Amino acid sequence: MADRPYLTFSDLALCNLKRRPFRAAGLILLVALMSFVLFGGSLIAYSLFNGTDALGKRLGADILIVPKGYDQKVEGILLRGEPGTFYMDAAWLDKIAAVEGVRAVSPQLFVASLNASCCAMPVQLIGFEQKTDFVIEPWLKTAHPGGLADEDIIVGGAIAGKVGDTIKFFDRDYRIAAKMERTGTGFDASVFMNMTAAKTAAADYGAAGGTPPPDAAAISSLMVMVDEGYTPSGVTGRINSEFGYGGSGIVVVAAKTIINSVSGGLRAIVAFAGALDALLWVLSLLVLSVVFSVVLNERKREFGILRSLGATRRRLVSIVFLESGLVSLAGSTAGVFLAALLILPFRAYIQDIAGMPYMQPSPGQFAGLTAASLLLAFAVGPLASLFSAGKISRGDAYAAIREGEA
Amino acid sequence: MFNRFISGAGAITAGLALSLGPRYVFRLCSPAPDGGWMICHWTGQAEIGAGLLLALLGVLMLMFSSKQTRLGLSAAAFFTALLALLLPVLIGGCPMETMACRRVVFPALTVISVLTLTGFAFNSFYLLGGRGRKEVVDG
Repeated sequence: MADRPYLTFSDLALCNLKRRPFRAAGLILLVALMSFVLFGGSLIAYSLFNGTDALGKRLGADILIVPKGYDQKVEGILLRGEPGTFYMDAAWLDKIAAVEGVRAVSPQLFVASLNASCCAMPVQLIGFEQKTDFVIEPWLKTAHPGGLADEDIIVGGAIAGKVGDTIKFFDRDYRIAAKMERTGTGFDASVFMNMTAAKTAAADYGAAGGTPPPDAAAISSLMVMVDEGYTPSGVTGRINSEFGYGGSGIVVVAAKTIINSVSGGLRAIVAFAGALDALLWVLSLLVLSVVFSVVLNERKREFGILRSLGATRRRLVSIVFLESGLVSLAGSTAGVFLAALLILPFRAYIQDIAGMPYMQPSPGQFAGLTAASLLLAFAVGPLASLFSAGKISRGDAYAAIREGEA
Repeated sequence: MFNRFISGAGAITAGLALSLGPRYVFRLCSPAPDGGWMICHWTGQAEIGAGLLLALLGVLMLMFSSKQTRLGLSAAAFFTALLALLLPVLIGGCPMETMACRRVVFPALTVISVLTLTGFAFNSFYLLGGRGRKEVVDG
């Protein structure tokens, strides 16, 4: 700018902003705050929706059967990866399989590791029956084709370690056979193994001071797939009426109930975030409109002089748009940058405090979200200066210069 | 004077946050059950060094008024913040994302480091630009 012997109109707009640094900083701060809330809120909401979607895809079963009093516990394991150990009688497998409308049943065994050498904090070990499983196998197939040996495990996306590494649980070495992709659910902090290995781990858990399994065949839950022509709620009712509500020592949980409880809460959060975004956007638009209008009144003489020096009305309008555009560009970029900087690294912390499945968008989705937020936030400045720009284009140069003179 | 104060105070604040934060504010993981240190402990130790260096650079920025000297200090602060950002990657952290170091401490260090290096990148360009203009005027 200083190297050139003349000023361009963009230099003029920049000089105008520099001349009032505090006013410019205040306007930039307002747009930055708005774009921060807009982008940050959208990013978190998008990640929560992604997580809920992943949970729906990964849950696989229509109905879960767990020991009475453990329905909340299993929800904690699936949604938040809170480790737990509980048992139920394996005889339920045949009883449930015989119920009308049940197409397939598969047992799972949940064991919380003690402070494992890998992680120094308990992780959830999930044993599944490879012959009957229809929940885990479909998404394990891509990660690890072929069966799991007794010393093989598959680790969730949040557990460090490469394929071939060894992890110790209860002083036993297990080999990482595959690593799952991140899902944003409790499965990310879980370790999957075959039922024989899980039963050994449960026995080790008992020997280490935890609750031992009541018998060698004990399981933790049953995953049920409903036959075609039957509904999960119908089969749930049939199981309850056949074995007595609660008196049987089991609880029947429809998978949809878990997903609905998550997505119900999510809808309320998203509605609140959306309302806040809209309110801030409108507020920013109003404040900027008022500020630009006041500034224009102060600068009537300046614009009048520019007109008398030969600047066209179009040029004056472009100066106003350029100034508001620069304010918007700086504010929206700063807001989006700060929101991304604060939200992206704290993924695990946000998931923890939200207590819901949370999966951040893919790079493509992230780019789309960023572009949309930048565009919306950027539009505020030029839109707010529309009125002021229109007023300038209608003004008369002589009257503008003389205005305010006694 | 304003730039000198802001950049110096900024570097001192960021340096203290980097060196003391993991130990007293965000809290690294507790020692392993066998009493040994977790990997993140050593990352925290290295951050103390990087943070104190950054704070020292901040003190020097307050002391020197020469633009060229402050430009050099500003560039040094940029690279120190870059080092502080890379330390959790170079040394590593605990294996699970749900553990304290990877859930809170490393993200907090990332935020402080990125803000610091962005600030000093802008400051370096600002000082570089100011010097360039002065030379044109003097010449």
